[in-house]
Amino acid sequence: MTDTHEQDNNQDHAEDGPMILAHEPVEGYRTIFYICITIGILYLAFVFWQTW
Amino acid sequence: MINALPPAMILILGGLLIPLFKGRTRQALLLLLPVISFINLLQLSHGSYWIYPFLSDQIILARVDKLSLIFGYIFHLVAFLSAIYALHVDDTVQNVAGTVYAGAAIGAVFAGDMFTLFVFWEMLTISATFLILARRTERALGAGFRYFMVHVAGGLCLLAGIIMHVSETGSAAFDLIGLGTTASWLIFVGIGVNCAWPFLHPWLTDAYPEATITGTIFLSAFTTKTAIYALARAFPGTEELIFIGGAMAAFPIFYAVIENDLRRVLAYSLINQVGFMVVGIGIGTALSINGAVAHAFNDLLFKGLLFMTMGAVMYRTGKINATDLGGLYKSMPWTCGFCIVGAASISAFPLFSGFVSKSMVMEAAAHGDMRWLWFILLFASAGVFHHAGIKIPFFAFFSHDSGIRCKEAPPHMLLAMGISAVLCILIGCFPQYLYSMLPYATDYQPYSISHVLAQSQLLIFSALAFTLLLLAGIYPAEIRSVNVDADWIYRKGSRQIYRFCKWAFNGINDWADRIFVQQFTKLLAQFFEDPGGNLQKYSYRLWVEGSGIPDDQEQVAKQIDSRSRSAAYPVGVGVLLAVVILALVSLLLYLR
Repeated sequence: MTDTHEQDNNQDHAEDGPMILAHEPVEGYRTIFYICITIGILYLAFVFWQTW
Repeated sequence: MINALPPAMILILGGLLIPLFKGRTRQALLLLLPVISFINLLQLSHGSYWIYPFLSDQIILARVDKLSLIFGYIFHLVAFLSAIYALHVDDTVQNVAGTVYAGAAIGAVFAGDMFTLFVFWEMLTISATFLILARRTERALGAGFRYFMVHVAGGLCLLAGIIMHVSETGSAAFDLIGLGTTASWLIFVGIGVNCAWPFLHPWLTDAYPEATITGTIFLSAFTTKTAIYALARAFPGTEELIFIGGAMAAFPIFYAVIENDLRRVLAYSLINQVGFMVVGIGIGTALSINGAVAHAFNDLLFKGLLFMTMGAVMYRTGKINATDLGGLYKSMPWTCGFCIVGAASISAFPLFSGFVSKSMVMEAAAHGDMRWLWFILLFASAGVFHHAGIKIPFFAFFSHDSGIRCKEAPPHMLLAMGISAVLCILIGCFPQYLYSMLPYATDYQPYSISHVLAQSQLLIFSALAFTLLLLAGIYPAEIRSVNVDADWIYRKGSRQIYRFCKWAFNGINDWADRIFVQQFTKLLAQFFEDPGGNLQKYSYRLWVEGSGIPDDQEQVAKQIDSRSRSAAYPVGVGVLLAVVILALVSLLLYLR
């Protein structure tokens, strides 16, 4: 374990770590996401309709 | 009699003396300079000082009023916090450049005339370039060079505008300019370069993440905020700024979301926050300008805090990419806590500093019946919470466990972060102290039910959106790559321009070489081997072809050659030449 990396450069670590950090879906959440999006759009439409 | 020195002098001259000291003495000097400079500033009351004649006008080294004072106060505070944070740095280049950079920014905000402003403006560019180059890597060298070139171009634009403005108006005073003339547009764009307007911004996201850890803390503070001050001074109420600021607030969100380098995410976030300030200045009401200035004040603290926390992570781990980090909350709990305070402040959570200033700009937009602008700013607020409020702490300290186990940040870094965090909370809880320093008197109440509810609703739904996007697997993956936006123009576009120029200009060069150097000189040399004879031969040929009288041209040419070699010209030729020369001389005299 090192104390400092003051002069380190990102390109020095170009090959060190993973190239990609993907976010794997958790089962069931995509449905919840679409339900929330639909509710959100309807809510916004209602707000615009009431206030514009 | 003034018992003080010009505001910038202590930091600039003191900064230049730093190489004479070493070790603890140098550390003490680095801490003392902002403190002494601040005490010096407190000696100055409102007014103009150190006025000297210059050309047909005058230069004013210090113009002290509420607008310059609030920037002066916060610049000193940030210079002091940055000096604490950078206490471990024993690098003369960084020590000198950082201190001079802060001094130049202070000099610019107190400049009473445009020539003084320009001098400090350029001093900012030079010292900032050294802060980038001080990292001493190939990428930093490239970024520093690009930074310098862009700012020199912006500086020249500003200088051209200043000279034209002075010659048109006869005054170099740095006051309200407003748009309308070519000079004012040049000044406007010159300031816009430092303000990182859309398409003029790539220097910021290019250079700041490539500077040293402590250099980025300094850089994030001064250049853009000096430009905000200059806009507030010279272009308040300029409608164009509303559109520019709206674009600045919105577009960086898309790039920040896909960016892997967390310091670059903060660089995009910086543009986003400056966008709010630009909008405030563009609206031009007392409330909006107060909001812009208050937000600049707060941004210097919370953005500095966020850059400090990411700097501490980089200092301990050597990594700054989201792909490499994660799970650091166990190793760096204090840094994590301070990062969350910075994130809450920039996201404008109630009781944190961003809330009490951002809501002023939003309120001004709503009062001005600019509903479209209000929605853009609302979108930008949700976006900044998403990328700076959640993404930064989440990917650095939580997310997946990267397996990195390191020490907590050094005490001096923790102290600087701690002071910044406390100030963010204090300003959020007791905004009246900040409001009392603003350019216009205000009784603005940020903690109304509608403000708090609207902002809380926005933040809660943004957090929900982030969570669901992540869990549904829709959130874009962090990829180790270089994302190019408007810097395409000089990263990729300039290569195409180079290729075109190579083809076009080298083609012209080759053609000119072939025609003038090779063929024309050869013909001239042949002609002047026997100029008299050749002149007669060409004239004779012209006469034959023009008159249409057939003749034995070869025979005549041989006779001319023979006469020429023996210098036996007929009298007529000599007369003809004399007539031609006389005609030319007469023509020249007539034209003269």
